[in-house]
Amino acid sequence: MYDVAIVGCGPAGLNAALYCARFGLKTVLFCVQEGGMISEAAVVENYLGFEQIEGRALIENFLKHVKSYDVEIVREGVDKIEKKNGSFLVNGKYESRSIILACGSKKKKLGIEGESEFTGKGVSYCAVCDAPLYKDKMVAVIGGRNSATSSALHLANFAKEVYLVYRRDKLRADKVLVDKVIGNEKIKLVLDAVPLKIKGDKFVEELVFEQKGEEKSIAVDGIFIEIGVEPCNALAAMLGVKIDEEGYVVVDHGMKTNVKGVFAAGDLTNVPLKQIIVAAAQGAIAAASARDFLLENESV
Amino acid sequence: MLEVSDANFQKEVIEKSAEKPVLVDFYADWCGPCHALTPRLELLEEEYGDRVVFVKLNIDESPAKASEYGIRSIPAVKLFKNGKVVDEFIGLMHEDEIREWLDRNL
Repeated sequence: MYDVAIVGCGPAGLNAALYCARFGLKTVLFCVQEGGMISEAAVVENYLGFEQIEGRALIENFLKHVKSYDVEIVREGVDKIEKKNGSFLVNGKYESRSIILACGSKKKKLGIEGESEFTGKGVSYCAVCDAPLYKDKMVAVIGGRNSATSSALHLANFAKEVYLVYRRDKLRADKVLVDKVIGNEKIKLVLDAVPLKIKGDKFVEELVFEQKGEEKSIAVDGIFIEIGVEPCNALAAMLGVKIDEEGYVVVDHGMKTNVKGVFAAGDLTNVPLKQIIVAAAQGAIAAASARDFLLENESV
Repeated sequence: MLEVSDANFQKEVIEKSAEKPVLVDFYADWCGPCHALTPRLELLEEEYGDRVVFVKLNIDESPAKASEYGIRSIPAVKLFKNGKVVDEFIGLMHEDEIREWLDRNL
């Protein structure tokens, strides 16, 4: 029997594991993608204490730190959590007194013609993974927030030209990113543009979009879709955890959900700012709340 | 998992796949999801090693094969039989999903 089972190993889950271990709780961490969304970040420039660090390096630091404590890491995806005699059963075999959900979110799809057909054949959801494959090629990034602008900047290191295609008339990313995009001569802004379809033969060749009522197209070899994320809330729903209308898990200031013994932290929660430092902090708070819960229930 | 390259691809993948299916993991060091996928394939290698040959190819070091097989997104996994790609998947998948994918193709 574990005291706490943590699902997810992005910054929220990892920091929760670190704090739980320091509290002396018997902790199991379910880890599929080390670092979560950070694994798709080329560089991180807004985590306090690191002016600029590669996403991969930051994850390695996090993991090294967590592994220096007594945390059992299970490399298994979690697809089932059940309530059982006042505790929880994860994947039918791991029993725990409390749960911290830190499953994060996944990238949204655009839902236009050609998107699924050309996934992996020019359509990509991970600029960090695939940017070097587009050396001296023409690419488009769809989206206009932080993830889209960061991807455009990363792609500009490799591609010949990068079109940043956004449905609004103005980018909605942090000013530092917008300034970098505007100052980058390889990046061309295509604003007020709504993507309609992706065309090609074997690989992507063209992005068709509507701009001010007119149908237009650009010739591209790659299309990177960065239109935001949706929370991975399936386990929360399974446990009867309250989810808001956008799909995020509702937590209080102690990261408690409406279900006793179930806590949540990170990008899947209804906390507005989706950032590494916020997720990590939420993980710490969730760990403290789990400890208090276990103490109140005389389990520690 | 055996590391293959442009130089020995013909021998280790194409020729070998005449005897036994060969699974090729196209990856690169810069790719986070690749780092998560390869250990999962290594676990499956223990389970399927007698029926499937598991190899990996660094697309940075072997750009000719990456280009020949139209790699545009990684991680990309392709299964070869008799020198030809019979099935493939892209991106990080759960161990169970990969198991299903392998079972379907064996």
